[in-house]
Amino acid sequence: MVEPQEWKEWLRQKRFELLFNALVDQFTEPLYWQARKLVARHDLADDVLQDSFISAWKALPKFKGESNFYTWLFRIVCNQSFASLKKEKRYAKIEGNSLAALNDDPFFNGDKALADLHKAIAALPVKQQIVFKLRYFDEMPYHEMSKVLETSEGALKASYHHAKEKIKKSFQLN
Amino acid sequence: MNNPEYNIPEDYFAKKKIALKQIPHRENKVIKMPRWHNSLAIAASLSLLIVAGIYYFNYNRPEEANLNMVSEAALDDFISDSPYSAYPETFLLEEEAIDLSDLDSEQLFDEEQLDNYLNQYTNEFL
Repeated sequence: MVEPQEWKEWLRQKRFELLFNALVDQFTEPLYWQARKLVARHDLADDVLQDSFISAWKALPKFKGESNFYTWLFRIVCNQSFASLKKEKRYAKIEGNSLAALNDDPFFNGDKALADLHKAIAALPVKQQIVFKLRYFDEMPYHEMSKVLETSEGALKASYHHAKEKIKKSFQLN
Repeated sequence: MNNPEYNIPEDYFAKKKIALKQIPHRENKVIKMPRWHNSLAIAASLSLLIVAGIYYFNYNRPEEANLNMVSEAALDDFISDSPYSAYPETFLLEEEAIDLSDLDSEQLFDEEQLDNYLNQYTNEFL
């Protein structure tokens, strides 16, 4: 994705609000869908998006512009999704599997198979969940994922492999 | 982006963008203090607590009587008005009991004993 040159100019000139509004206009939709794929439910994706842009606004003066803006924002969305999933997992331990609530989400149109897949993914460790979703739903190449998650490609491949095996096993058991 | 499995509320993105653009106005109201300001605030609070603590304990401590609390004049008056004079051991004795007229040192001390005593103790101080 080619980003307008003037954004980096605005960053240098510290015109943060102008730049922030441009980022909101350009990236709200793609970032929402990324968050939605990672956390599945609309209410969670909405929170992740909101928190991500708040973090981005706070961090904007410190951003050096070494990566492009989308990669930077996407990394923030992944971190926020990671935190959200961790919170949900803790909550699920107390209340039972909260992703069972995906079927009750009015904004979920998927069939039972997709709901079951999400349920199986939810049982994985949170980091494996993120890797699996980015690879499986987004078909994101490992080298790109490596930049976003700041993890080596080898570790990501291993993580994806473990996740896939666990999901297979979960479907065989059910 | 086409995601048939996931729906969103009507006009979600238009409304969301408006809400997100409010973040700079809302978040600017919170001014984060630099770290050294935090340390300064903590140090100031601690000093205040220590001073308050010292004041509190001194204020609530029962007063102990000491000579500094009595003026010198009052002390002089007390000593001169009371039976305690410069020789406090005498106040218990009646005047008649103290009769020194027939005091004879020869009756009181055996001379030999006195010599022995003086020989023994005066040498120690030479």
